[in-house]
Amino acid sequence: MDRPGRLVCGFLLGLLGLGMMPGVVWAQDATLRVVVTSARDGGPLQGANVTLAIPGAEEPRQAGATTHDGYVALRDVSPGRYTITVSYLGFETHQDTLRLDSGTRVYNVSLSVATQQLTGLTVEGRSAEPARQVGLETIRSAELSRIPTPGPEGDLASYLQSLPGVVSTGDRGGQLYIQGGSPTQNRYLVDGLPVVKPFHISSFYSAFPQDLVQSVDLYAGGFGAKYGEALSSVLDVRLRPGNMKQFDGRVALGPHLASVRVEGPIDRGSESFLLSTRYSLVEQTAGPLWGDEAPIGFHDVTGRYSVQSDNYSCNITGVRTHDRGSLDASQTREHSWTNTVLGGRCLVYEEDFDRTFSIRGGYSGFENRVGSPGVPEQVAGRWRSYLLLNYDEVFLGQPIDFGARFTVGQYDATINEQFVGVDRFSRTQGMVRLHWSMDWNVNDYLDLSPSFVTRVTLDVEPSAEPRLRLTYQPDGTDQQELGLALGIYRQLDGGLRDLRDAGNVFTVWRPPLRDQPLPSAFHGILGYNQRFRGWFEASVEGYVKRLYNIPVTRWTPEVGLDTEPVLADGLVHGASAQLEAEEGPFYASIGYGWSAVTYEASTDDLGAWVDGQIFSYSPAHDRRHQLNLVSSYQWKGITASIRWQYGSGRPFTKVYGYNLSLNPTQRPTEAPGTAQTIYERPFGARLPSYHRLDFSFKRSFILTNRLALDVSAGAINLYDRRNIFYFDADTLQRVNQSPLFPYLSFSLRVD
Amino acid sequence: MLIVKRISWCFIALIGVGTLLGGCDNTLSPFAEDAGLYSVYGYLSFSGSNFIRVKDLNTPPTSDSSQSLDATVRLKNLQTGRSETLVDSVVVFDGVYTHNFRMRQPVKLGDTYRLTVERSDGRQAKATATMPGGTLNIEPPRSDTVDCTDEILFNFQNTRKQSSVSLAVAVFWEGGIQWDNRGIIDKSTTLVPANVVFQALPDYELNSIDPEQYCALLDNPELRIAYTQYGPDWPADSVFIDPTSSRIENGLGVFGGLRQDTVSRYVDISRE
Repeated sequence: MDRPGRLVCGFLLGLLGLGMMPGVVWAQDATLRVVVTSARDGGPLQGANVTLAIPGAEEPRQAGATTHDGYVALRDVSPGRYTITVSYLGFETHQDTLRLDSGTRVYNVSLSVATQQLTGLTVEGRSAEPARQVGLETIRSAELSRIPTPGPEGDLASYLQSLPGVVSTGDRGGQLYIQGGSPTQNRYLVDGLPVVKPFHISSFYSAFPQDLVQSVDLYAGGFGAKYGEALSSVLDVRLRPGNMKQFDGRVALGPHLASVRVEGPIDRGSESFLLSTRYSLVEQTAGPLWGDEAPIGFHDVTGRYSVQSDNYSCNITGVRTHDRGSLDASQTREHSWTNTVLGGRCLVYEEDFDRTFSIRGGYSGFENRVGSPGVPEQVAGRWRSYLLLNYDEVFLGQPIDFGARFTVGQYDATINEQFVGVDRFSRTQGMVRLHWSMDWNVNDYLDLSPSFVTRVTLDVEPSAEPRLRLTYQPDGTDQQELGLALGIYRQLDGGLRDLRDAGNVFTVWRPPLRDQPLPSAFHGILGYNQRFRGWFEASVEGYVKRLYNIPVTRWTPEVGLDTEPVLADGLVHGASAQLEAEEGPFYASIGYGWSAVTYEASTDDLGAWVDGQIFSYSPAHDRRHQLNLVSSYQWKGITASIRWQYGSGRPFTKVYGYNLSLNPTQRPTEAPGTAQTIYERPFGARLPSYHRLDFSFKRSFILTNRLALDVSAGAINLYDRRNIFYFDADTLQRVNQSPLFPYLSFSLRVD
Repeated sequence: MLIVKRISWCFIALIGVGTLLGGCDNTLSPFAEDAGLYSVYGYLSFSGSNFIRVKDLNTPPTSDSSQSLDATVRLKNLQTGRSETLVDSVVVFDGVYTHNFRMRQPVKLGDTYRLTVERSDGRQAKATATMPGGTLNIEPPRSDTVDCTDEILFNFQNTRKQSSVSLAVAVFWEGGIQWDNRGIIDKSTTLVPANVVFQALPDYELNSIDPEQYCALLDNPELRIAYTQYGPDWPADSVFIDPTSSRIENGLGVFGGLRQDTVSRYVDISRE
């Protein structure tokens, strides 16, 4: 780091230290900590509006919205009597008068479901917070059901693929690219616990079914310092706690999978459990039902223990997923991968403490394999244990969040390549990461959120990552908002995959070597969001991401994966627009995304068969145009949904030829030679465009007071478009995505 | 509800237009058909039979279609004009079919040969190989015995500039043969038996011995010299790393001419 860089770093770290000084308390005023839960199941309500006003006054003195913990702190309140109002769409508004003295008070509110909601269709309350901010899309559980999914319920993976800027390379393999970022440049979190590859081998599904999801924040870029170790994007999934009031559950069956969920109180009103498992059936059903083999399978298990008290809330979450199967039609190569995540988090907002703080710790393991069926030839994994401490402070009247994260990681890989040999490595790495972030409400129109990250490891130079998010509301309301997000991002490790072969998703994770620079990125995002009359929302966004030192594989003529990466630089830029209308039972959205992804690296390093010192190319996920149409309509208890997707062709590399290479003095009749697949100019051609229409009908039948049957029928790829997945260079076969896929699924629900 | 109807119609129109624009053309051309036809590996030499392996680049080596080869392979001496159609000899290695074409006509020093591999549609891959020329002169002659520190002059005369030579020298020691690989050398080089012994016996402690006595350690007096003289158009080293930088027109691989031989000289191994 140069001298100015050190000075800036020192200053920001000093600011961090200042914030950590104990006993520095500016406020002699009161602080009100409000926790909002649902009276229906005891779970926290995210996005509930909380206002504090002097009795009789119309304008509130303080206002805020609850976080996913159902928690909000109103600070710097002058002692006195106030009227507190807590509102959330779909729930009865709560109003109370309370007296605040100097110091801290915790106030718990349990909102009852609104009367009209009890008699009509259950519609999940919509948050008062905007669903879309610069670089950020907040997704609620109910929104997942709008996307036709081959049953029995909605899934985050299907939903994400309907967003502009999210590119899937196919409907198998679980590879999602978000705003130009590859899967290994994205960070996936479940309740704050990192999970390396939560998407199943059938790309309709992830480890996050609608039944378990409370809300999701998708930061396509420009995220704050709270999130680290991601170059491109963050998917922050929050699971809901188990029902704290009564036992309920669901048993579901469809042609793709079967699932079971049970949940209920351990100590009514304060402790609960939730257990869910899913098992894929498509391997067994695809042949008899559609005449096509689908040699893939997966299962997942999610468990959650939650405790909610007046002064703290804690949860323990465990997720285990396993996927296996062949992406190629000839089934000569079998992939498998396993995620194991176990961890817990406590948020403490005890009145006796000046600050709220949270502690989180856990373990996250990932291993993937590929080889002949039953004989894995390549194995690689990443295992991490970590502890994260967070607490909030008030600095110059503004809340600041401080955090420290301690991580120990282990990386292992064994690559056994036919004709090439065996490559092994094993590395252990420790890291301390410190961050602070501030939410600075400058005035009624302008909010600034500066933040800063630094990280220290034993063998990599310390890094400094300043970030800034800015929102400007021209009329002082969230009806229209202009946002800007800037930041520098670094990632300690990188994932290597042979990008020439779309049918191979095997990935090797490895940290940089001692003398290698860290992969890094600069993000700049500018967005505008406008709401009209409460039922129509329009947003546009432009973004640029500059990537540096991205590990990519060499273009070796021999088939296989070289674990010594080549470092490339990249540029991602694009724009997206989304129009969304929701009026009563009707919903419609149109999303269009344009993007361009370009990587460049030294031609000599890449080993590419091209002219010039620097080779510039667009990688396989460079889908230039993308259009998504989604609509749903409720009529007489039936919900009909359709989705149409269009994506322009992605780049691919043509095959120049298959060679059996001999050393120059080997005799042709005595030596077999070395098998080589020689590629043409990398990514020099494009696949045909992709489009698909899906639809579904859903209907619930109330059987008894607490028992209901949900029936879902629909079809994926209604007009049976032969969308290409990839061309298998080994077997000379064109591998297509799913054909027309009708389905009927049932779900028996107790609630 | 009016707005709902309008949006619904708008959706239907968009899907229709989008599907039309997305197009029905769903074809894919995965091969760079116009770029590469065949790979060719083989060399022409004066010793033994000459085979040239030809492989269809558009066929994976393990596919059934690799059992036969759609190719007519011809070799022509550009100096004499003599041409022949080569005959395929299929050799199977672990289920992989390879097509190796045998040359019948004798090769001549300094002549250039053109190989043509023609597909049934008339498209051709071509390559040329020029045999090395000149004469090898070694001083002193075979009949003389040299001392361990004497010089042996190894010299190619009347060769083209581009021609190169690789050399390996061996001595007999403790019941085995020990090679000292010199790699590519100049067309003229000097060999000193003591140096050869020093290089060929890497783990043996020679520093305490007078170089003149090195040869006394050997089992027998033979100094074996193996050389390969490459034709002037023999490809550069890079072709062995990157097969695509070959000089095969409409293909890839290595095709060249070389001369290989082993000669002996004798050193005095008596102890003084």
